[in-house]
Amino acid sequence: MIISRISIKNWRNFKTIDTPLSERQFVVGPNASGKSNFLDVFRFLRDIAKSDGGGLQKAVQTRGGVSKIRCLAARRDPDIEIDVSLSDDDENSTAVWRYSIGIRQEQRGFRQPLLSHEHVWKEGRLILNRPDRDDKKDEERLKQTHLEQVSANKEFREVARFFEAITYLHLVPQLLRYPELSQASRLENDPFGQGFLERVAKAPPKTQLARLRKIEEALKIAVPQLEQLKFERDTTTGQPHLLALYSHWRPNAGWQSEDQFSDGTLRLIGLLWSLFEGQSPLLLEEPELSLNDGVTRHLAGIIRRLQRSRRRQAIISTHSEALLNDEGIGGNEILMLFPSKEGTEAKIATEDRDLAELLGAGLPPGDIVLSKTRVKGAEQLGLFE
Amino acid sequence: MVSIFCEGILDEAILRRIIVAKTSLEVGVAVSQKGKSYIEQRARSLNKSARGSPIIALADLDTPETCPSTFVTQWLGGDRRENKFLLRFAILEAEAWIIADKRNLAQFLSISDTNVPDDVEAIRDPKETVVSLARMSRNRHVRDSLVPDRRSGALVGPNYNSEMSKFVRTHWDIDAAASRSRSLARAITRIEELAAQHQG
Repeated sequence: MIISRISIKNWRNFKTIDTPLSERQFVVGPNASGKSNFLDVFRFLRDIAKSDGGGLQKAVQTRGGVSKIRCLAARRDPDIEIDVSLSDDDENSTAVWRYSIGIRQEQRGFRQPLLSHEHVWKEGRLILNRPDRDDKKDEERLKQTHLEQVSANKEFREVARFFEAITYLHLVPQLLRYPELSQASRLENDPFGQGFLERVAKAPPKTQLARLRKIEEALKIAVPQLEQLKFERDTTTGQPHLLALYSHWRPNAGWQSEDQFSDGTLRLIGLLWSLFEGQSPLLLEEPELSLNDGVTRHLAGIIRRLQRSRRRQAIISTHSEALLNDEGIGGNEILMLFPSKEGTEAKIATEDRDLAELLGAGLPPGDIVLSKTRVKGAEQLGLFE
Repeated sequence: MVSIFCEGILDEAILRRIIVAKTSLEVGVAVSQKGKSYIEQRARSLNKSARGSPIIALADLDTPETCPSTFVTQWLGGDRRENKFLLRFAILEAEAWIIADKRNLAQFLSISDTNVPDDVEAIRDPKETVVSLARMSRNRHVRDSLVPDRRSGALVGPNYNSEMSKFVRTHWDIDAAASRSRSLARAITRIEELAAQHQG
């Protein structure tokens, strides 16, 4: 299943957007246009649906309260709304599920978030419609979604499970390399990949081996001297380690552990591994970081190949021309964000007439799409003194 | 909306300035820094997609021996040029169009304008000419920005593109320059025609 459409209102720097999403969706835009805020919508849904320690209150609280989430451009109609449609991967099929939620703030007291509505549709039929009679009798009920309650989401548990498994990855190599830096303060859901090695360790041995073989294949292209990749546990401390064998004139001197890997190698391993995990959307933040353009160029294709076998949607924010210059990327797979005074606007590349024509004529998507979202006046940065 | 394709950052600054000064077109897609071969390889595709919105491509001629129209024919591979596709060449480089505004350039570089050559289309290497003019500058900032360090092996100084783009945006007198450069004057006319046609 993929999220085939999303519409949001008053979410951070978006006043209103409504856009279709494809199985592999790239999100581009200038700095501070809201790429991460866009990805955060999906993380928010996950945080609500999470069965341990999730829920609406927690999800809003960790983001600093309703007033922090609400778009500054919101005025007359200040509710925050998120509406997503879930479909089977076929892009033309109609939505199997649709989940919609509206959030407002308590007028008095602790100013906690309250639901203004919560709707669920199954194959077009409305199966949950809140606020219902009970909610009207007891406003306290509006502090929780039915999505987060096992006793209330029986009819649409599939949706809750789907949201819960959404993964966000922005692997920070330094955190893996210096575990002592981060042991104490690991974030929930591990967005920065600190627990990456433990996830590798937890995979059943056969699966682990098969995945590492595939990653090894991909890595050999990116890191020419690399010959073999293996996983090991330190026999005394029990610490998990990834080891890579580099070609070297001394046959046994080439094994290096992850703390000696380059940033690019680590990020690439983390990225590929996460593509193998789970079936809910994977959110990738700038996967091109620390990677050579020659490698980045192949990334879109690699992501495609791996997600196809798993049927996993990937939503990818990027600034990289090399990543997008893959001719296999369709204009419908690129979502462009344009900041404006009234909040950021979003547009699929093929909805823009000029771009659609240029893409249709076979021009590389990276060059032309990124030029369209480039910051006006950025050339004057050169005059910075 | 017009899409533009240029050889480099400086060419883009020049083309944008002309479009803003002489037409009411708005620049949408702008691709530069990919060099001449990028435009050459994609000329046919650009021509095809210009059936909708107009496209302007600007490249340097580089060699005086070839006539621009020969290049146009070659790059389009025998296709007929669409009305809304302009492929213009600066003779011999876009810098020649900058040098053509003799008075302002001399002032910008802090040199005497007697040093600036008159027949700009006869200059073999306009970029190098700009650099050697900058070398004479009385202003240290100009020399530091535009003149390359001897050891660097670079053709231009570390801040060449942004300094020269600044000149194009803020000091460059298009009409004065066009009076000394026929290739610039013709390019402006064609761009104006394209804009008129697009609005009509």
